[in-house]
Amino acid sequence: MSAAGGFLTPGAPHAELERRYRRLLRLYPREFRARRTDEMIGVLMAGAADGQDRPARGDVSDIVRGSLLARLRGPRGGWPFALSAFALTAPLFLVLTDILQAAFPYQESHARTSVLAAHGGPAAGSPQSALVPQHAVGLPLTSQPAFLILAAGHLIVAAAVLAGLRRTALAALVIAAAADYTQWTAFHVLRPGLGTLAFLTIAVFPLEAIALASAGPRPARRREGWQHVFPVLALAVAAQLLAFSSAASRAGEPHVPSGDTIMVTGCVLALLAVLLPLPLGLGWRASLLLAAACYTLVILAAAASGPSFGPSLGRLPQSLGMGPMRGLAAHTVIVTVLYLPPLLVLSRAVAKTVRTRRPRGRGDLAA
Amino acid sequence: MQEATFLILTALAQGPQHGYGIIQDVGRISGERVALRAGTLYGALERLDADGLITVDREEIVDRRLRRYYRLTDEGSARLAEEARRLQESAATALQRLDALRPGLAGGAA
Repeated sequence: MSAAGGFLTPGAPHAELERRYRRLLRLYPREFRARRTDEMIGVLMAGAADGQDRPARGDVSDIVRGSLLARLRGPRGGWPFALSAFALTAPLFLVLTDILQAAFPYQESHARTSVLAAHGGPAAGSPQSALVPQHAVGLPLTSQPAFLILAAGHLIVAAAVLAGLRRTALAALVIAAAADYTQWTAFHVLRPGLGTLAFLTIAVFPLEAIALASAGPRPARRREGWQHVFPVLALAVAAQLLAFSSAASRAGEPHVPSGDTIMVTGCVLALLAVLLPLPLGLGWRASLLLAAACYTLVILAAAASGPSFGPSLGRLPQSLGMGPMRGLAAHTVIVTVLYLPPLLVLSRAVAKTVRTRRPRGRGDLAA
Repeated sequence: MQEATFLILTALAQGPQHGYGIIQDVGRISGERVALRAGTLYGALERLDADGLITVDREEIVDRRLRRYYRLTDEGSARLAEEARRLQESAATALQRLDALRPGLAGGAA
């Protein structure tokens, strides 16, 4: 077996060894296995000693290490693939966000009372509360035209990316973004929890628009096994639930999670996204983009959710005794700084994608 | 460039080789100091292929098993030559400095 070029014929003596090696090679990502398994089996069996029926210990550790690195490296395609994976999955995330928003309707509660009071508004039940626009204080989102347009837009974007229609997805994204902005401006003060959630989707729009414009969903969609990204979505939903609904109901009373809670959740989520390529085999680039999205989604929203509800960082200008104008300027700087890391990641991804596309011509990635 | 990568490229500088042939050649080149295993080899081949330094030359079925032969690309040859020159220069510098160091050491010990 170890003789030069002495490849085994698959037969009884080493059938068990080969079977064990094949099982071990399942640690590699699917795409890698499709290309390499037969070849690697040939090499492993050629190097096996006579009578050997179990993988050598050195081979086992080498394959485990190699498979982890392969998963971290991800599928071939570099940044264009990572960006494409993001373009494909982010709209599904947006749809799930809509479902969450509709599933956790804001209720009349002391939470709203405290929110209104914090903004100098009327307390619930007071005569002045009648002055608060009804659309802002408790009607289900599903009765709000802006939300319905937003949700429909997200659904169209998700369907379009799954079908590989980049331009349709972009058009629907713009419409949904306008509806989202309308919704957010109406809700962000009086419904800070859900308003923030609505704001989160706004944070995804620029990332998704850039991903759609530069890479498009098709390269990721062509990959076998891209459906493995669904666990990412499940994770995102879990994090959303944690960030916005962990304290949603105590004795039936909804509470607004603190900005600090949201920030910490965002950091944990981003960290989890970084670790995702190992089980999913998406590669570190895709994980960075996912982490950037999670980071942007939660931390930016928390920082920008207003001086009264934002995290300690968001309240910093107020704590330093800055006036409204200087406070606004300082807050803008804080948000910009928070936004820089995901923007840097994204700009690098786009630059690499554009550079990769140029020699191939425009047809390959065009929808 | 990692040593394993350098040795794989060096093995392919002799002509197209299949995976097991590369492992054996790397052992010979390194005086049996480096023993490549399949996981390391194919991780490196993936990277080198993706970077355009090697390419598949041909495939054969021998004893019902796939043998894929790899060869250096022009870019791979250039990178190997560049790395070999760099290592040669570094080694030459190291030897020169050791030569210069020896008389001093001898004098200090005296």
